[in-house]
Amino acid sequence: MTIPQTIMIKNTDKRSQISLDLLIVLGVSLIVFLIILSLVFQRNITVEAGKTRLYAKAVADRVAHAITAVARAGHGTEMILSLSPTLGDSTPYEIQVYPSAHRVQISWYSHGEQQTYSAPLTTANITGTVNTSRDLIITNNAGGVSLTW
Amino acid sequence: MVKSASNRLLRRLRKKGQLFSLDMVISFLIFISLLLSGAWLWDQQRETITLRELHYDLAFQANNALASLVETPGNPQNWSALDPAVVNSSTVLSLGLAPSPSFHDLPNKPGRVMAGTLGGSWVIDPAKLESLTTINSSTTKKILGILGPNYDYFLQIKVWNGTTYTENTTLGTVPESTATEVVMVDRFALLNNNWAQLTMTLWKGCEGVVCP
Repeated sequence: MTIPQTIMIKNTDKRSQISLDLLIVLGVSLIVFLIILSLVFQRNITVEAGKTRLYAKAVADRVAHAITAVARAGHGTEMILSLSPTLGDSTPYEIQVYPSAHRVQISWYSHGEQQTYSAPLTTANITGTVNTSRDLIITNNAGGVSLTW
Repeated sequence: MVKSASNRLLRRLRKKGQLFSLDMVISFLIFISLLLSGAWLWDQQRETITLRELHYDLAFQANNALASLVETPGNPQNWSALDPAVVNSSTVLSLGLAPSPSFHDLPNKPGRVMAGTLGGSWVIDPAKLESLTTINSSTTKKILGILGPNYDYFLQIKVWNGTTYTENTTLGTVPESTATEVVMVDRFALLNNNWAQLTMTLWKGCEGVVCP
């Protein structure tokens, strides 16, 4: 049995249509893939920034908690706190105590932008500063908290 | 015979073409729906984490504030003698309701007596409690270290009357029904030689377009 020529022509036409379909589908798929890739990239940046923020938050909360605990415990209490010079993901940071504002502020850079987080303090009677490269000694002297290193 | 065979071939070719497109459409729809489900789940998880973080933040501040009130006399120790109009974060460095710093500073050695009998930590000075109610709420919030956008507090002090705890004093603002998150922390102390239950409720007001 032989296939008539008209059918062969139609068959060839169909194949060319399928190739065009395939091109369109490939084009659409590529666009979708690029959109997905861009979304994943953006979300990945958000996750990474969130991770750094949590590391920073943990450090600031730890310092604030230690200062508050020493202030509560009364005269003569001393606590030594070891701080790492970088955050958990190796991001450098700075930590400052603002007694009058009742807060410990940590700052770091994420994707070129400075970020900050403040942990609350229940006392403003604090003297001294924090040095992240050395152990922090928190002492209660007659109700006042002094920070030395 | 030849005509029917050619018709069959044409039908098959058409069928193949249709099947190919339909398969693609179906698989594309499945892929997109999976992708959207993934994005939705991602957002849900992020929302859950944000709420947990907020809860932890509120609990941290509530615990610190209440501990400061119950365990310390404040700084200066006689802050309740100040005129409420001049009380601010510069004149009062910390707030506390205990009459004296702690039982370590009392004449007796630690461990020999309980603070309650001499008036150290875990004893509420009624005069200080009275003064606390006269201070401006935003000043109290700042000194107690309650920081955060739309954060507010409600302190309730109940006293044991022999049968149950009855309300004695309240401070701050009752949580709104639309509050994003509410955290309650309890501590016990002595007030006028009675057991007192201090409940610190820290809450974050609703913000954004979804608020009524």
